[in-house]
Amino acid sequence: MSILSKSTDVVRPFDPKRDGAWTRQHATHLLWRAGFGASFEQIQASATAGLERSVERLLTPQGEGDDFKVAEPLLRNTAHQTENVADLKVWWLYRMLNSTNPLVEKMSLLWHNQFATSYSKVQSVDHMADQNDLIRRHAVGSFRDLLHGMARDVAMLIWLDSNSNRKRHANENFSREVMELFSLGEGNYTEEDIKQAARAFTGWHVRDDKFWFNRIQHDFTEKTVFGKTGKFDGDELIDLCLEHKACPRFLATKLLTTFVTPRPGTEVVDGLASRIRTHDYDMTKVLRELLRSAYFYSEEVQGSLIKSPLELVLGSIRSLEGKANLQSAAQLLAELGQDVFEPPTVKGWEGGRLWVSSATLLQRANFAAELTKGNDLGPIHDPSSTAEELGWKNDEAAIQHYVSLLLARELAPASLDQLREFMHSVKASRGNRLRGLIHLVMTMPEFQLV
Amino acid sequence: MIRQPRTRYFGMSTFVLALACVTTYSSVGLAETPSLAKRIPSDAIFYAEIKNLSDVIDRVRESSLTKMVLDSPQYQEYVQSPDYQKFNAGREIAETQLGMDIWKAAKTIFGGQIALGLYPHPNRDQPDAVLVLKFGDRAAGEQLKSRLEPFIKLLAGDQVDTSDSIDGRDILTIKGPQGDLLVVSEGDWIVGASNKELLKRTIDLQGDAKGKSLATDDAFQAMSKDLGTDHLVQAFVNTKAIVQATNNGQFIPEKLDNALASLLFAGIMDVTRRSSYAGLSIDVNEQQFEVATSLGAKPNDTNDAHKSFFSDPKGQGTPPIPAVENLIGGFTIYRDYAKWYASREELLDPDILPGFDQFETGLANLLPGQDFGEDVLPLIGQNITFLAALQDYSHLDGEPGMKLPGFALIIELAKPKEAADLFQLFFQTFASILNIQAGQQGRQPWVMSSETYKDVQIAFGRYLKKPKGKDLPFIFNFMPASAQVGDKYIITSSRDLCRKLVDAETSGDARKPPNRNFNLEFYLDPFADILEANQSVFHARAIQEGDSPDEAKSNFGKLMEVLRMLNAVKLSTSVKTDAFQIRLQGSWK
Repeated sequence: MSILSKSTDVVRPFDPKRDGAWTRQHATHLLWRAGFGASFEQIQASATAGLERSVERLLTPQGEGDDFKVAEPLLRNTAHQTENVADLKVWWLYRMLNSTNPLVEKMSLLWHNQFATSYSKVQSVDHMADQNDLIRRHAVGSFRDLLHGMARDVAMLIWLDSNSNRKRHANENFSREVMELFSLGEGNYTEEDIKQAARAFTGWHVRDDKFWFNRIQHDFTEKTVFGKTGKFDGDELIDLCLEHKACPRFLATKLLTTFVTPRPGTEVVDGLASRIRTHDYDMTKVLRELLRSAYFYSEEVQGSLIKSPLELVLGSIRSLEGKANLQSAAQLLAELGQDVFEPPTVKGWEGGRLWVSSATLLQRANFAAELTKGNDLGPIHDPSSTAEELGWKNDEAAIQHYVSLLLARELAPASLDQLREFMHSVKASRGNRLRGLIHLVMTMPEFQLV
Repeated sequence: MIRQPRTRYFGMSTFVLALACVTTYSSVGLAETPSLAKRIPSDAIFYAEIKNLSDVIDRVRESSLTKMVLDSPQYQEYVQSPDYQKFNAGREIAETQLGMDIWKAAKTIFGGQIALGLYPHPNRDQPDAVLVLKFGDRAAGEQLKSRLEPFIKLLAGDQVDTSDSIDGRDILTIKGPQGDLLVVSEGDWIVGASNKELLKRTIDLQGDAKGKSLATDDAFQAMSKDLGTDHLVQAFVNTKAIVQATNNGQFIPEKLDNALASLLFAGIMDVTRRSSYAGLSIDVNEQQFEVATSLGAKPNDTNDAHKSFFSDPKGQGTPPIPAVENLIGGFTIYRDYAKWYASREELLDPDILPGFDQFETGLANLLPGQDFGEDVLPLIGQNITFLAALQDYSHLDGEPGMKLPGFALIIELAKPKEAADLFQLFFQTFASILNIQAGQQGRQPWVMSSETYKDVQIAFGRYLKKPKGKDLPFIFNFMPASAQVGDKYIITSSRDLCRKLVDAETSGDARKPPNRNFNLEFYLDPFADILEANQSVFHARAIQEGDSPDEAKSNFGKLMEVLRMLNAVKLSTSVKTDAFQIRLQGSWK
């Protein structure tokens, strides 16, 4: 039964007196949902820090580690120098895996999916990287600024053929997507709105790899959009979208399906939309309320989402402290259906249940085997060392450790018995038995959920 | 949590180190030692001899490269491992039993001469074998023998029998699953053989030689004449006997299913099939090694199709690689390309022939109205050179982040006047196609331009706007250029390199290289320079594969250290009247 009785409950703060104490399970849930998994130490630190400090840490820019400060610009520059999008993909995966600001990367991925732009058409590593920078700058900032910035982004302008948007031949690609996919969603505008809005963006072109306002090709005359008339330019048109009542609801749905629940009810969407409007699209404020809400940690929410390939692969590597071969990881992610910088269509990845098919389920199982073996994807942290570091005295400690580290939900007693039976029956070295245990945990249905 | 360092470059650097260790600082430097071929019975199908390895062993032991390996964290890690502890315990037992350390034992065994001969066995596939060991240090040899024999008896138990004798000498028979090994020793030699008859023939050849030795076999004598006999390592294969025994050498395919492999190797395969012997020698001195192989057959005494692979043994062969500054490497290759192309049905697997039809159809877009086999290839001479050298970036206001060397292809022209326009058309069409692709990908196109340099017209593509920046994308390494100098057509990826090649071709080359059919040279210093200039990319690659920045830097540094110790590697083939030779040379600092 839902803990929500009215729409405002969606952001009711988590209250230990009413909702129970903040536990390691809550910390695990937060770090998987607001990032890409977490190591045992990170979960432990969050459990000790408590809810408020954990959420603030995610929302406040953290200084990156020494390795990150060297490696990240090196990988980025290599992508620029080689002009190879595979290198750019690896650069972003490195960020997702190693950044001390995982929520920024998670939100960047959300916006990359919303403003889905593909290298396959843009054909420029630098433009794709610049767009990614723009997204990251506003990832947990103002959606208003992000939408305005995206309308001038070179990759987006190439992606939606903006150079052919001229005053005598308006191209509707951008105006259609800005309403349908970027801000309002279907059913909240008319075909005439799109035609009129396209005229506002005429002359928004690319020249010498930069945004260029081509005055000669801009239509300065009056347009009527959403019933309002004026000599709107592109920026004013975007403001009209942001003022539209559908926009906060559209964003609320995106946030809820990414962070909270696969099928949010109307009251939940309305509740969050109202907070988005109140905060004038400031995502830091919205996310703070959402991630601190009791609803976010409720039973019905925990383990209710299917892991995206990125959550599955990077989350597992991060949790098991792997030294990832990111080139292999990028290839695997493409096979699992989430090839960053090359989303399948303008609509991005639909996700949810579509992440799992008979083919990808097999690949997900193979991934578990591959990761625990430590071949192509690079080695995980030696489990026998973990056992020594954490002072495990028996198999039960190992079972509890990996179950709580890797699974979003508590395991049924029968499943736990299965793990105990495995540890009891397998005759192998300690390291290999523990690798077998990890593999078994990763092949359980619960592992596919987050 | 503590992590073990990864060893990404260790595999590659270990290989280079091992190669260098085997060769570095070693010197034969001794008076000629008679070959053991005189002490091995005739009619061997395979023979190998190693001599005077003791200096090599000493120098390997004392070399800085060995020290580098022993000091490496990877080796130190291995020293702590159970595997090393087991090895060390075994070594201590062996040293106690032998009464000398393993280095001295190795020097005693390998410091003199060791020869192995294999003989066909009439009733089985597995050949008979003869092993002759002649100690360099007779006293140490005696000591080793006296300690080794009881050790072998102890270890082998009833696998060893000492009841037999030959000519008054005791035979130590070691029984094995593949057959017995009969061993006899006397003075400074040990002889082993897989049967008594062979043992007797071999013993008869020790001391005052009696009987017919391998050294008197015609094929062995021909090989000795071709390669000489005083080498650190020498091997001989009676290919004629092997070819006959294997149904006329059917293990060597007559047709290849890859055109490039055919161009490179079909000639060698043809001459191997016809050869009476294959010889190998390895020599090492203080700063270089040489591996030479000789195939005993008249290369040009073959069918028309295969004649396309061999230059005239009395002619000049391929020209030297042009002497350009900062040459990383390159090769020159002699082939009669028109004849090879016309003979493709005889030389290549039928399955790949349709690919040539597609190729010709595609080429028609670049050279309209021309037939590749009839019109284009006859314009080309018999020598093609490809090279890579460091280039400058004067065509840019800055540098590419990822720096590539300049690449050049030099085509000798059989008919320079007719070829000039055709190749120029090819160059322009090719540049135009690349320009269309550049436009599709939003990159700057090239503007076709030309200049006169040392009275030679150089055509090149320049950028409309000179690219600026210190880390430009790698595409800006390329500024295609072409020129014709006499009977040479030059096409390069860089105008700078094109100018250097014009310099080289117009200044005349005083070098008189030996006759070669193929010549490849690779210089490690400029190669290390270009790797070092791109070290950030290599660091990034290592990080992409899971290394930390420190690990990536450290492993790359080790690779550079090894490369900087080396000098050059050269591989060449030569057509002689009666043989075909392949030589691999390497040198270090």
